[in-house]
Amino acid sequence: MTASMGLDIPAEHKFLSVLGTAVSSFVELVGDATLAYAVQLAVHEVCANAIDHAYPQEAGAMPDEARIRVQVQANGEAVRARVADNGRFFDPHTLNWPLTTQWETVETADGAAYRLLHVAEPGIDQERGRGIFLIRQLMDEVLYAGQAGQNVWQLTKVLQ
Amino acid sequence: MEQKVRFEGDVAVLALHGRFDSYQTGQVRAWLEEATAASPARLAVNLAGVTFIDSTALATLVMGMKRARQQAGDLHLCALQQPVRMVFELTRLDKAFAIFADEQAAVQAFD
Repeated sequence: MTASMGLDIPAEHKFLSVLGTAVSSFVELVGDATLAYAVQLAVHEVCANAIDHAYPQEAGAMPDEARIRVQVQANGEAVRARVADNGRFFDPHTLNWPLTTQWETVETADGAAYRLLHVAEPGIDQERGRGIFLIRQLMDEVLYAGQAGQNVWQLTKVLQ
Repeated sequence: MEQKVRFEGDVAVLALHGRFDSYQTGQVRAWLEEATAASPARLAVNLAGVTFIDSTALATLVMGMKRARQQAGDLHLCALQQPVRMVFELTRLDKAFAIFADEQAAVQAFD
């Protein structure tokens, strides 16, 4: 059986609690609390990152049309989350400071994407850079693609 | 998120309750900056009521810990719920902070 849910929220930090509660409750119904927390946190980090970087605050007030769309799908084998924003594109290869990230190019059903292979562990007193590290640690597969005017992240957690 | 401050001797204890994330870190950051303005900065942050923590919140606590150590003190953490502890372990910040089982231990460790 496949179960799915979707949410469409304004791209602002204050709405992420709504998203977190919904994603967590949904995943807990198909898995357990530990899985729910992991998926909630990974989705949250992708969204928080998009709000900060895809919709830069220095550009002024957040445009009304700045949205984040999240879909979560679960079957007996895996939980998959798709996070799409309509902010500016980012080039994964520019993510090298203060982080060191490794990506590979892959072909998916929706076209070319980048698969996140590795994120170097942030230094112990480093303040920034733990978001992408956490996403990689929490998920079994992390894909990013710039598609049709959107940044699309696909996160997969395989069920044990 | 609720934020309550009390003093135990010269240790400032900040108790947080709720969701500690990118939307909520501003007020905690402001408090930590003020609390670490003078030396010695001895702080304990009680996370017993925190159900969710993200990387922005971790960055805020790291900032507070670094500033406290620069001011001849430290920032102790206590009473982490299991999911919050898991995030500290994944990022290995459980090795960077002094983490205690409860508030009393976190305060007494400054003696």
